[in-house]
Amino acid sequence: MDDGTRRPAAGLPPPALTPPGRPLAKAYAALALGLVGRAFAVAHRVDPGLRRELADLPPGFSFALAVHPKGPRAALRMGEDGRLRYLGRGPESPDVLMRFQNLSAALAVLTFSASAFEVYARNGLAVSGDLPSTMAIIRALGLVESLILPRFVVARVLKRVPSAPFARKHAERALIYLALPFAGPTKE
Amino acid sequence: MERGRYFEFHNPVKILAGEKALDSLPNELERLGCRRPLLVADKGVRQAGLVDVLLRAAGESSLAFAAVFDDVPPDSGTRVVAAAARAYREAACDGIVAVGGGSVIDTAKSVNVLVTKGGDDLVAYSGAGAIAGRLSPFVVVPTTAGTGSECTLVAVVRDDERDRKLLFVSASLLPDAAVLDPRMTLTLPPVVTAATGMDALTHAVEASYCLGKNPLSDVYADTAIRLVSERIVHVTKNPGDARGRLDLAVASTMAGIAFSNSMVGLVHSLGHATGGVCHVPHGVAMNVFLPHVLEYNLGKRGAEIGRLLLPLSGPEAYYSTPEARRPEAAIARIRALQDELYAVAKLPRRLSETGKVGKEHHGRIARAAIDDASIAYNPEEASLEDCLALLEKAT
Repeated sequence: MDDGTRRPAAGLPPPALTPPGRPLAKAYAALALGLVGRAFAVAHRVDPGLRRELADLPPGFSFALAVHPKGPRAALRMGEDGRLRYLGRGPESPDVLMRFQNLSAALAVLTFSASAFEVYARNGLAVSGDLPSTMAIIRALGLVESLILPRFVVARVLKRVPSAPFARKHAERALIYLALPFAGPTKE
Repeated sequence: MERGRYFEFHNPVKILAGEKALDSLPNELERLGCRRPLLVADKGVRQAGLVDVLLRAAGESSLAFAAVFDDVPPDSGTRVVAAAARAYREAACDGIVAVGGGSVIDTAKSVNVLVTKGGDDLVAYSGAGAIAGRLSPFVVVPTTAGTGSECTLVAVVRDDERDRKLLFVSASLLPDAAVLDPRMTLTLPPVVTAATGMDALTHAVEASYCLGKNPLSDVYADTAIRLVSERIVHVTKNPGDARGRLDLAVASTMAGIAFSNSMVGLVHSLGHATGGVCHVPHGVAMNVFLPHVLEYNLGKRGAEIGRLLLPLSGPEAYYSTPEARRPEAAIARIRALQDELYAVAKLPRRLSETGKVGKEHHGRIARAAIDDASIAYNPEEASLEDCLALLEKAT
């Protein structure tokens, strides 16, 4: 399996030609994934709709968003106390692993120019693990986006903007941004 | 095409289609290097004499099945897959021939994973993209014209331990060849012919307007829609029409190729959920939900749905209908097909006509529908409340 490294196999000459890499794009993806992971954990505490969406995930359940093959990743785990915690890279084999097939697919979602559903439909997101849980997580990701992003961006990304009272939505958004710097990652 | 302008299209399945297509099966197995195939079927296929038809068609060839596993139930699960994999290993088989409908084909796909990858833990391979590499030689002979499973990269079987459906999505699951021979579908009862045909139509229609649509799958979907629309009522009325049977088999396969490359949407989410909760046959559920879901998606996909009028009703009807009225005319054509099939074969058009779905089931069905993977591809966001409203409309 391709592990993304460029070391030549033993006894073989080094490769003659390799892609140049996209360090800036990769750094942005890492930053944005970290932000999304933290926002997920904080929003779960703040927003009852998000808690309802993920209510069926059992305690100990972990999921991760990652960039193939060895790119950045953000993992979260549902705690025994019902709280969702951001873990950083998290476990090697989470219960659900959603892996962007390449950096461009990841950037489409992480620059909020396409929804995770849309990228999934275009073969840009591979999933291993329980699919009903995955659907709930992708819907939850949409809710998180609707909580942290301005409406004109959300309207472009999501099929339908979730409706919420104006005051409550903005109060929740303020709480999320205030708590974001303290949202982990949690050591396991 | 959708924003992003990227799609993938993959169909490596060799299609052998014709009124004597089965005669080519032995050659095809030889080409694949398969000398000791396992035959996977179900009791219905055996009792209908379809295996005998296959053996007669193979004639004087050297075809010899090393083992036969014909215990596949309609709703197959991990225990059945493990038992069939044992039969394969005990007889030192080197390939699989599946003869049957959706359950048999999905079981055979799952068996192929276990016998190639090793072990008995099918759950480890569930999900999208968890199976990689080439599997053992695998030929499918469909005995219904609807699932398109012979050309799809998907398999669904029940997890017997946890009582849930396991979904496998991988290009590795695709068979090496599919044999479409009308002798395999001649004995289908009218209601099954009608239901499976509407299943194929739904695959093609959803492939044509949902989020994963692409220019290549559109071509397959258009022809599939035309063939089903032209043939389904006639073949349901005249089960012995071999030419019509072959057209429906080809339509089913083409619809399978289309949706395997663009996936399906909310009709399937609701259909899978209704099948899971109330055991409504898949094709019946497709028939019930199709026009309601098309109406529901009109706001986001009116133009694409209007375009379906061409393959559904032909060029004369298409060009004589003003553009703005084509979406409703396309849906009306599907409703007209439903009424004709109800008159000919009593194929249910509403949930109430199935006799299996009560209002008390709606909550569970809607909940299961929003967790179904195909909902990701639906153009309109379908909430729990939307699914409940659709169930109400379809009752």
